[in-house]
Amino acid sequence: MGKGSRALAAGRKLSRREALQTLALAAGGIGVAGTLNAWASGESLTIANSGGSVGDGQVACYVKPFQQATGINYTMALRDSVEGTAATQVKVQVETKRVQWDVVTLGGPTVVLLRDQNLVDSLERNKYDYHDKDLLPGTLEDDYAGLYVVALVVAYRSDKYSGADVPKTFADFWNTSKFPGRRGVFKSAMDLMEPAVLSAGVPPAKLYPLDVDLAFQQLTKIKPNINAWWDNLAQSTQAIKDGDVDLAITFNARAQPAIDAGAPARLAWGQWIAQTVGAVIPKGAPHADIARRYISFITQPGPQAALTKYVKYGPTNRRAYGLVDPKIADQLPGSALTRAGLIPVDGTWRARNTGTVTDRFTAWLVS
Amino acid sequence: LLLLGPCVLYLVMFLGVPIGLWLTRAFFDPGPTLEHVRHLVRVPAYVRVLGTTFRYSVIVTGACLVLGYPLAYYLSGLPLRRRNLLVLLVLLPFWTSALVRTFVWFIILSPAGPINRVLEAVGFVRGPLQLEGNAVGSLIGMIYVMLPYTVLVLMAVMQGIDRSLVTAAATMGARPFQAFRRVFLPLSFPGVAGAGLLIFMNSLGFYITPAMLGGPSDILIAQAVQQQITLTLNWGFAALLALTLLVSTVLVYALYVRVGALGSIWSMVSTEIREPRRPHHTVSTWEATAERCLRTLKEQFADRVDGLERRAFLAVDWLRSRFGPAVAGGQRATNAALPAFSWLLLGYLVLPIVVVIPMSFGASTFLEFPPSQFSLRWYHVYMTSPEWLTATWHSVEAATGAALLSTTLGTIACFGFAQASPRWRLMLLPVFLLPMIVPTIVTAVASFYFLAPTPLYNTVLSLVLVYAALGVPFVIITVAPVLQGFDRRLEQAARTLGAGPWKTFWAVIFPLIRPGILAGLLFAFLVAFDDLIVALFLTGGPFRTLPRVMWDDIEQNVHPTLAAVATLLVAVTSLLLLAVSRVRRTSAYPEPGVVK
Repeated sequence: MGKGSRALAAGRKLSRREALQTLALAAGGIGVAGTLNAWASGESLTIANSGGSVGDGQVACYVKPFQQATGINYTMALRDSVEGTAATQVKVQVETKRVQWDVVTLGGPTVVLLRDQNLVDSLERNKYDYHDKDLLPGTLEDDYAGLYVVALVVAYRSDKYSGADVPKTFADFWNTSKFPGRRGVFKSAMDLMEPAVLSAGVPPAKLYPLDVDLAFQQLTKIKPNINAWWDNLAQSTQAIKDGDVDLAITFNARAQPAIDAGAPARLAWGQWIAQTVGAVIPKGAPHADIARRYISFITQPGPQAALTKYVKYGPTNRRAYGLVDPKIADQLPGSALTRAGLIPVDGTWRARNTGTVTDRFTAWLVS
Repeated sequence: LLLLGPCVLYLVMFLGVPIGLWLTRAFFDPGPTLEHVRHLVRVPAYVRVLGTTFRYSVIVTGACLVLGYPLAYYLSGLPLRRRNLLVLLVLLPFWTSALVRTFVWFIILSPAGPINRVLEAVGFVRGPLQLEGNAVGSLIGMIYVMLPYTVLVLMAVMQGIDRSLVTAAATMGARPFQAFRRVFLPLSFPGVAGAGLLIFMNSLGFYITPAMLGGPSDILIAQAVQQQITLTLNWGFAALLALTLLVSTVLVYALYVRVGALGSIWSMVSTEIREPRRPHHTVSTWEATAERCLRTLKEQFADRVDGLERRAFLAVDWLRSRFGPAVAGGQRATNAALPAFSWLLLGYLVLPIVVVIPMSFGASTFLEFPPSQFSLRWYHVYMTSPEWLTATWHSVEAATGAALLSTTLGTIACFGFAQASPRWRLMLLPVFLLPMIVPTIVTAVASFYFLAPTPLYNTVLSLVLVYAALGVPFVIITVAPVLQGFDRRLEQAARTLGAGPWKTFWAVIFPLIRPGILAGLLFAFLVAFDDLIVALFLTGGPFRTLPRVMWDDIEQNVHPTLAAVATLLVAVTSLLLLAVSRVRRTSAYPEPGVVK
């Protein structure tokens, strides 16, 4: 740490002097002494994540064990908790050639967007071991290593629906006569396309290429019965907890905290959309090689199993499930209990169609 | 014009150039192209979104003025000490992040929320009212955000109005309402025009509030731009959308100028206004302006206004026939109505804070109202978390620096403005105000491209510089109307009596325009203190600002920590302000010239 803080101090001095030179006029009036920060240079990995409980978990289960194993220091950086904004952060860094992040965690479809604009670096799979044979199929790509599985799933209040007749699928969410009640969804096209098509009875194997017309027909059917259109992930958690809605299409890790806090709610694991979140290296990252070592480290079962204590996402490394407390394992997307309902998302289809579908969704909403 | 120089230069350098460069993407992304224009034509939904944005801005502006005017009138007429106390209430909502307040509204208005529970308990409604997820929610949230700005701008002007003029009119036989309408109302018009412009421009940038509280169709332009930037990474189209917003705002501005409302901020008749001997002349000037404004509005919305007017007249007739004798008691009824109305509005402004405070003492890991169990755990979390504490410090630091810088620049520019010719003023004003309507995400991304190659990148200073530029419009809009009401002869008198320019400024000018400057300083501080997006891009690195930490906390946990932070901020700032006003025996708002 001593070395790091010296470097920081040096950096601080330098940038203040330069700052004052370049912008003497503007800086003149303000006391900025001691407020300038600069990046420490040197052998240190900069990892961007979105903070919160996932972030804390990543530091404890991924980053610190990696530091202990390799002696490489780390800096945590701030990635916006909204995927798209985080992608924008990557884009501006790469385009201005001021890349600070060596590794960033992002969702699969977002990575396709970045890949299409040539903003992410190769993992060099021929040189590094990413435990390919243990990973769930389709979770490792040339520039992206999926770390955990996130479920888009129907959540319901068990005080409203109980017994044998509980919602199990997206078709049940659409079935307002069998399951009357208040419904909530995210005001986000890409979180509604797959559920809408599946609700029409399209078999999962024929989900892609997705029938967008059908999806909008289904959305038009359900629209009058949607009581809450959330913009923010936390709104769904709060609404499920307070009982503002009886049924919701949300992410499992968003409903789980409400359940953990004692709210009578359950997840309908009969059918769910699986997305992965994983690690990428922005093109031009200063320590790409260390980043690859780090990603190789965190695709192991150990770190992945440990993370489930912080947030209920399913590991991509199949061997990790054996290391998890069985009670927790049942709540994880991808576990033995939930695997039957898994429908993998086609990230490429999503990325290629986000623009047109979002346009159409906006038009559909305001019409 | 020399006085305008620094401010213009500053804005051009830190906002104009970066944003301008970025916006060229509308036609050059990737190469020279008209594809994005074609896209806009192909998807008419975005034009509708723009329409919705303007519609909401008009409604919010109108509502804020109608609601805020009586409140400001009531407050500025109170004795100093009570006024200070109540102004504190108006300011309360400011001390927590807009994000937290919006989230709290989301809880308050929800079907299981406190409002619905109270209404049901009273037996007022059967099922829960749908108060959010529709236009009602959007409006409640947006008006709530804008109302304090309205009241403060109006008050800054109303304090400068000599109320003895109203009394004088009354002694000469004017009925109370007539005296108000013919004397006070016209004198306060610069404030109305200033507040209207501020609210309107600012409302064009609404994003989080309608997104969280509004219905499915409440998509405003800022959200559409954000979507194109972040969701689809289609920056060319995002730039075009932002450009469309700017161009249409300039057009609306041109209309505003034609209508004449703006002239009142920079009126040439400022000295005449203060001339007690010629009130008649002044009033007629103002009346003419107002009438012209009304006429144009009427032409625009002829049908609707006529309908409304007719209905209003009918209602008045009905009321008169019903309560004729009671109304004859006139004055007393009005006397009670104004405070009642004002207190109702104050209740609306304070409600989220009233809800947040108990929430912060909850023991659950969720925001609960009322909490089922009490504890101090979230205060403990805040006090022991280096992350929260350093974030608080960074925010205070950046916001203070920015507020000082933009108040200095803005105030100097206002003096320059006051001396410039009317033509120049009208040309330059939009330059100063445009920063307010550029969607923040555009400002953030554009300043990243501008600052990233400099050593300023990742420093608090870079934040200060950008925030200061964003704060300037707020300063100008609050200081300009006050300066307009300022009697230049006082300055001349001071100079004649031998005071130097500095002495004149500090001893004469500054105390008189202080309400405006303080309001501007406050707004500039808040712009910086509440920012989410600019900090995200400019400091992608090791330090975070308070709204960032709050945002991440909301997105990830919704722990009551943020309620604790909000409560602490409210408590600390209120105590600080109270202490200041006690010690100095004076307030942010000096005593109006003569009250009685």
